[in-house]
Amino acid sequence: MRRILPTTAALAAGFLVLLDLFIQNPYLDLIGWVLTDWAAILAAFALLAGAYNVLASHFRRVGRRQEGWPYSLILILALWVVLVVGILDPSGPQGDLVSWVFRYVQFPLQATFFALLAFYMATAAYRAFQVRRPEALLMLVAGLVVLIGQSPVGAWLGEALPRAAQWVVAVPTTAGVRGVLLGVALGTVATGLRLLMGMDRPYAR
Amino acid sequence: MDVLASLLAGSSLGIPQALMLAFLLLFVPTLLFFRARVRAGKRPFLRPLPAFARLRGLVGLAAESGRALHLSLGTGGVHGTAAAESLAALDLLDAAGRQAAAYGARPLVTTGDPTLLLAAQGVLRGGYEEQGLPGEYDHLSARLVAPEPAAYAAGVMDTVNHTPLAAHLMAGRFGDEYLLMAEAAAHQGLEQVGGAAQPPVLPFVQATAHHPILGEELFAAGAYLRGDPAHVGSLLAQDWMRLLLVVVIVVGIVVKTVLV
Amino acid sequence: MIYCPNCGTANRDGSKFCNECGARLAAPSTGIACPECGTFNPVTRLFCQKCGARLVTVAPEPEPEEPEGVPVTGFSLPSRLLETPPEAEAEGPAAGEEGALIPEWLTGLEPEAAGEEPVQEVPAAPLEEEHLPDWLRELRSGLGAVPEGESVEEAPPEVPAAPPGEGPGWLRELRSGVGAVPEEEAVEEAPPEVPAAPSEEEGVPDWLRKLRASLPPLEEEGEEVPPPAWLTEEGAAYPQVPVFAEPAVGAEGPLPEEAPSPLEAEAPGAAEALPLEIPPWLEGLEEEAAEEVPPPPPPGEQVSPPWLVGPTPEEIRAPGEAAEAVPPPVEAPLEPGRAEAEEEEMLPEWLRVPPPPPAEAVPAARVPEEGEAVPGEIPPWLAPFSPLARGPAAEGEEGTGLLQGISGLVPAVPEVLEVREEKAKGPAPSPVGASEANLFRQVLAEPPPEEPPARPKAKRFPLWGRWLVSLLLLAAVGIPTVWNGVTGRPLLNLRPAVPPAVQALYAAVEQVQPGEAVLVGWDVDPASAGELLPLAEAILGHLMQRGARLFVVSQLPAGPPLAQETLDGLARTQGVYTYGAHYLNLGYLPGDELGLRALSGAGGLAALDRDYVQGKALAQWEAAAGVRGVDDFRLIVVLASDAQQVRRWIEQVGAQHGVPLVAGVSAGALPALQPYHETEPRQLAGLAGGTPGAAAYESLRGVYLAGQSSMEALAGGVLALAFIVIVGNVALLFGLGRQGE
Repeated sequence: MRRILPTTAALAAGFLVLLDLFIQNPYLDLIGWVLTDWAAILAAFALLAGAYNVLASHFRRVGRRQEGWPYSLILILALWVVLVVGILDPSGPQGDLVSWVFRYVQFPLQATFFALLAFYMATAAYRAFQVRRPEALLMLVAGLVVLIGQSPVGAWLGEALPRAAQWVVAVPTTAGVRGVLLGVALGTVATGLRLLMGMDRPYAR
Repeated sequence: MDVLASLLAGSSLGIPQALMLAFLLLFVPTLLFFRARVRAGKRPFLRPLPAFARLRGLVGLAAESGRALHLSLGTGGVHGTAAAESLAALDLLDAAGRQAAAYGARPLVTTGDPTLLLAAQGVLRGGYEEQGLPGEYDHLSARLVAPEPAAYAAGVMDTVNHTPLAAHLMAGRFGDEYLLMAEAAAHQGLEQVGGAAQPPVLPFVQATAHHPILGEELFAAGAYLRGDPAHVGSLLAQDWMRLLLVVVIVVGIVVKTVLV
Repeated sequence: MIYCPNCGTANRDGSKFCNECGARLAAPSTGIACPECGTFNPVTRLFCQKCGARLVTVAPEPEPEEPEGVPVTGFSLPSRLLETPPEAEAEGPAAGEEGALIPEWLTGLEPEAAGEEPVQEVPAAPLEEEHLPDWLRELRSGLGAVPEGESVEEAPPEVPAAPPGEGPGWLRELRSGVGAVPEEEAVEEAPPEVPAAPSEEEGVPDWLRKLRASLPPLEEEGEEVPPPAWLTEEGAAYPQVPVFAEPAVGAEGPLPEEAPSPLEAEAPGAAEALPLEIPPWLEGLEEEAAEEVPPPPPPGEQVSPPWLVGPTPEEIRAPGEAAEAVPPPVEAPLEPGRAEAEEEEMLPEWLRVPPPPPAEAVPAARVPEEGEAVPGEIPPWLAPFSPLARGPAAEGEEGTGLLQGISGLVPAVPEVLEVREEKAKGPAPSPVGASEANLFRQVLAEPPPEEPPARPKAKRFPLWGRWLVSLLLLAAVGIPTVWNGVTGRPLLNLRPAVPPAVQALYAAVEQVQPGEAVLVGWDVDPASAGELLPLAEAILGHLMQRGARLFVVSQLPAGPPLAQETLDGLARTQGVYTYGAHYLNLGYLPGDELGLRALSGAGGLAALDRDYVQGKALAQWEAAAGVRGVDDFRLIVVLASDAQQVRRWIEQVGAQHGVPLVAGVSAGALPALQPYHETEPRQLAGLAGGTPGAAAYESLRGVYLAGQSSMEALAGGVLALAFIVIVGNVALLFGLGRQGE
């Protein structure tokens, strides 16, 4: 019973949503929408469990004075401040204080963090484009053509480079990407079918 | 296509739904057939994937060195379009977690989604229970870093830079933040196994991982590591369906180019 | 996990039946039953999964009982008949055979010598006539048939070992004048190196010839000769002593004098009660044995048995000196009054007591100095083996070592010495153990799985290299940005290329009429805002310029506030645009594909019934007038950092309705989405990507905004990256590339 009940619930929900995709029926649409709502609610409760996990791991770090424990303390304090303010503010998450935190703390930090990607990409490119095999030479040439061709420098150098860059992106790159996407789609379908037919029960581990 | 549209005119099925239904009606019996064959004992030849072969060695390395084995499962959850990649990552975690429990290695799992966190905790706990060591499981060995990709990458980089690790494994749904985490691990000199299915991330995986798992190879984790008949059978079914798609594409090209 | 033996499916622990095929799982052979609750657990578990009791006990397993009925072989026992044929014995004695057929005279001897209780005798197995050695067969034929039913108690007395080729000495004696050997007696397996007995006259040593002469002649064949008393049942009263093994190679000469066995102390009564029919050479030994019986050892003290104790140095005679007396190696009743000289004469040379070593061979005692190590005292039983100088050895006589004083020995030639390697004789493996051992052997024999060689681990990128790369990028991007910010004009005035997809996007927006509703899918998060905000501002600004009503919906939780901030900023530049009248923020739409399906379904905007900013119903806003569903929109603009998000809109919304759909995406998502624009029917009416797309769109609009101002910084960054790539390959060419890997 401990195993049959969740398996049955998962299978039933999966089949109903799949039927909703193929059959236009208002009742099926309603059931599908309700199940989607429930999934969102479950995800929210999972977020609570995740918040507990975050607090527990950082509390442990602070308690054991592990390396970087002051940052863990800051994280715990920030989490509690934003949470309490968001709950107590009558406007909720759209209130002034929470909006201020988002606008002037989170957004700049996120944007800055991804700006670091450029520097890491440079160090990765130093290694990744080294021609150690013959096919790597092809990759190097294509990379340089696309890199320069799609930039204003390529347009400044002439029309050949941008056109070559467009062709490289449109033909071989797209073909490779589509091949990968087809394989990924097949894998996704296979995983979904295994779940729908009860062959794979990751939730029962 | 017009013929198909006319056939479907009376039904509620649109052309995309009809094509999808036809695809599923072919996929399901193929999967069941190959699963039955595998259960009957006919094991197919699976080309070696170095990343999965190296996994056991990395767990042993972690056990020998006393350092943790870091597994990063990505920012996707067990719902939505990222579910398949997350489940494949859980297969990898299952194999690594069991071996870690048996060898006495210490796994450290980081996730970017709360639902994936709960699934990862269940998988790890199951591995320890299977080895008869329920007391060895640490519920904080699987952690939620942050539900946002940039914050997730920042947390993983902090873990990689400040925690003694034996190896670094990344598998699941990632975005551009993959490169940040992978480069941090590369700067620490860690051996990396990286797996992603999204095309924009594949160049990062290829450039940084010692043993890359590219694209659909990620979905073969269950077949290679667990040998489950369902997983092996679905792998074979995928191969045959891919062959069918190739035939359809070629026929379509010929029809479009020559006949029309 | 329990794997089904039928289909191989993994089932949870504790499962009794397979979930796939229904086969029974909880077979006794597949698990360990808990001693407390009886639950079957996987064999790999240490503790019960139900009650937590320990499954594997820590108590040591009791030692297996030794099998009974196995004869002792390889030891100096008198011949006994074995039940097993010689072929079985030639393969090597099986486990447990040794020690089973121990005659009473031997079992009775050892415990009495050590002061213990006698061990129980093990019955011997009779042997077939054809399996007997030649000398025993001859003996039998000469002495007559063995009485039936005689048990192992009828052990013959111990006799000194006979020279090789003639069988044991005591049997030779038997042949020369005593009774037959019982059939049931075990036959000692003759050593293979023992040659066949020589002819009667040629191979018989002198001492035996003399012995024979003194004894009554053998009876003719067929005539019954009663066995001596010491061979019959009464012989059981004789205390038994072990007989040493025969020398392997032609041993001749007298053995060192041996101290008599302490068992002689218990024998006098028996000796008196038995009729004496003792060979002459055995007579007189009793007196000496009786004289030399040591007192019983105190309890707890371990004393070497006398037969192990060699002669004292005083007893050892010089070579050539006639033996004064022959001490009996066995305990047998002797004829009293026999002259010692006659005894000595009757004994073979190797049985005679060697002369004591010369006195000068003994080193003078020296008083040890203080702190100096004092040499230890050699125990008496070891004294004969000490390499003391005994004076000039006689010709052919061993001067030192174990065989000192024995003459006629074949000189040891190293080449002929064979080292017999005896195989380890362990207990016979059980079937389970054998199968497990075979499995272990197979596993060891299998080659280890080949692990792929790991790619060379990347060394840490040198710190100076990271600094160099960072400074180069900073300069390439920062200089044009700072210049643009300070001067307000571009550094190089680079005109961006305008791809056809961007032109199509521009054309699609240009077809929007004032007051028409446009649905904006905002999937831009702060992480990708740096790249997508210029493009978003260019497109949304154009829409605002056209006077369109904008409805923004986001499938990212962090999307709505960023969208609101962007729209508010653009509205301020437009002047007349106000929230609620010209644009609405519909907030977060959960569920990815399902949410979009709900949005494009019959319910329409009912899925988003309230706005994000004030939470009021849509019907209360002026901008929402006349808008109920997707079909009421003129254009759908999707702004996303990921191709997957755009694909979701195409599949769930665009395919269901005929509303044109355009997209502004990150530059990395362009390759995956271009087919949607380039193939018929076009599922994307227009497409622009990243900063170059924003710059191209601005150039089409004729404005100079963040897109165009970022182009020079982008160009600088691209050139720096290309330079780094080229430098990396040059470094590899000159062998410096390994520094980074």
